[in-house]
Amino acid sequence: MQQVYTPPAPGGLFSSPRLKFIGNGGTYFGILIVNALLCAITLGLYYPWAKAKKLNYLYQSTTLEDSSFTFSGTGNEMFKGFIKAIGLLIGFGIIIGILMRVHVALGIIAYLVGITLLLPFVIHGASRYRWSRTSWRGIRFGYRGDRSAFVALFIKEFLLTVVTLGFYGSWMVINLRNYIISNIRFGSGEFKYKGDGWDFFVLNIKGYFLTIITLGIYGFWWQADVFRYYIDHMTLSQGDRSYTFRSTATGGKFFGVILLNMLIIIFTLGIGYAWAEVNMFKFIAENIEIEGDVVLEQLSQTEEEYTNAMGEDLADFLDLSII
Amino acid sequence: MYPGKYFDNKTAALTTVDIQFYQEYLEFRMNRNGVRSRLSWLYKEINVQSVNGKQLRISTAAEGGLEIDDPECISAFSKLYYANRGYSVHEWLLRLGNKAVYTVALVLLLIVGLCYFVVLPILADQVAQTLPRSFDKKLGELAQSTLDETTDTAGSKLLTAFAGKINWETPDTLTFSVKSSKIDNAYALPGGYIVVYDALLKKIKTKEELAALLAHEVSHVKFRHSTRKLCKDMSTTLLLDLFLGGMGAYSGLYKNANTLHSLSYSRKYEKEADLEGLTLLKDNKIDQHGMLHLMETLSSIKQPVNMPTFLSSHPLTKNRIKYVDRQIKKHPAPAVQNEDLEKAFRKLKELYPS
Repeated sequence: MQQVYTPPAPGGLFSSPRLKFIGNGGTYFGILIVNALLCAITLGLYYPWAKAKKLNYLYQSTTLEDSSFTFSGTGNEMFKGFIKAIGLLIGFGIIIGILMRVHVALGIIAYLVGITLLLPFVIHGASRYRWSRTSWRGIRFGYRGDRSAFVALFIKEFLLTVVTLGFYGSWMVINLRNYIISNIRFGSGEFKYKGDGWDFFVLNIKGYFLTIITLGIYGFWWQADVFRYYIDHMTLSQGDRSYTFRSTATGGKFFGVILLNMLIIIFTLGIGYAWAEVNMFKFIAENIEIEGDVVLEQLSQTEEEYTNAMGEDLADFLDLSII
Repeated sequence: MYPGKYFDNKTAALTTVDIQFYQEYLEFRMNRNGVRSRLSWLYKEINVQSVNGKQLRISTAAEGGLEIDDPECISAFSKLYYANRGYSVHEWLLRLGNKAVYTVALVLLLIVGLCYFVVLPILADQVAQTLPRSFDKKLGELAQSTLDETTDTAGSKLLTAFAGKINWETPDTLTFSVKSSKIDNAYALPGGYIVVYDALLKKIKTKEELAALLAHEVSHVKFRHSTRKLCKDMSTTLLLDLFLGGMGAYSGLYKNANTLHSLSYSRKYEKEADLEGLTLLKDNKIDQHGMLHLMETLSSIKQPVNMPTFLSSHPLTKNRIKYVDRQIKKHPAPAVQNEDLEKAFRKLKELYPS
């Protein structure tokens, strides 16, 4: 694992801003249960607002240097996206239905191709919406990826993965990650992700076999390795200054938090889910170290607002989880 | 004057400011690099976010926002701001933090508990009552078709003859049969299918005991226990899915909790059947002590595992003997020696000697 060491720039200050999750399980539980109640009463139509409330809470409970993040997306925006997404899926369903009548195989092929083609559009749309609605001290994040470039990349990577019977999967994950993260802006700050498919492949192969050999116990260490690989290859730069990210999570720590969460969920018959999730967020925030000479105060506003939430809602329908 | 921090939406720098609150607006002054300036925002044009009740973030579309963590400042602002707006359930949750949450959780828990323990059983019973008795019959036929047991035709005929001597006081058409099995058991399917295993028949010594056994099973049919339990189980699953599923938590474990509870529910049914069985015996002028003797016979049967009361679907025999005894003492009734019944029983016993 290479460690990028960034020497302090002349005159610059070396700092390590703290990332914290200060939410509490009780409040989060309250939000989830009120959401659940309203969703039940409205037969699910409340969902976009429920989601806005939930994201709002999770974002504002995450702090960097004691200032919290803001999710400014609204239920109304997401409701519009929700309607569009439903319309699109119904249209898609009708087309598949017609093709199925013509020939079953044709329908199935059209379905698979359709979903595969839909995915990159969804990921792109959801990233644009989610990041543009995220801000910190008034400075908006943004996703600058190009739609056609991303779709082309996605299709290429996907086909290679299919052709190699999944072996290329590690490369696909890393290449998509490289593209997406490297296009995220934090005001004038730029994120970069430089991962290597081969390294990630080796990590996964090692994790896979050791997990089998140790009857699953190594799974936690594998997870810690993947997490470290995701975090440690990320940087944030502003002009010629940069921050590096480092994971301090170990397999043992993962084991601890996952075991605790499992016990919470089991012994509360699932009601403790909110507390378990909060534990996980705390764990993640605590285990990311940021270090470098970026001066956060100098980050300036560069990103546009983007209010089309269709991708965000489609992502939910397809059950994609986006951070 | 309260302390706060201002950001201008241009850079992420924070400037310390002094804030003052008025009836309709707030105002703050700052000194940035020697330049003094003053901003004021109307309450109706700001967006307010409370972070766990400890931090407040006020933001505007055009002029940036404020971060406040001074508790006095937060309470001064809240008094004025929420006075003319009121707040939604969500804001209330966020502002009061844990206290509000535990209140909401407690209220919801009470509602769910009330639904589960009181409303659901009543509702399920209502639903069960609207179902015609022919539904029970179909259900019973279905259940029977899935059970692969051999009927003892001769025994069934004799048992039917025996049961025919008793007035069961029910609109259901009853079908009595004997099946061969090594297990000492008897059961009633909805719609009136009553089955006694031959192993149990061999253990029964008097006609009163047999009458008590049949009376117990007929009472299950009469009160439609299976249909009512089915309605309740189904509505419970729906309720739990609605609450726990919607929360994002889905745990198969709650089903186990439900099973535990539905066991105690069936114990209630068992008791009901025992007591109704006694009434049937009394009305037919059969000695009610037959029920007691039946229980003694049953308790002498060795069970593979001694289950604690809360896990077994039948109330523990000791328990049952106690309340049956009490019931008999409360409603004593003369018993008449019924020769027909005795004859029918003896014929049956010839086939299944002890």
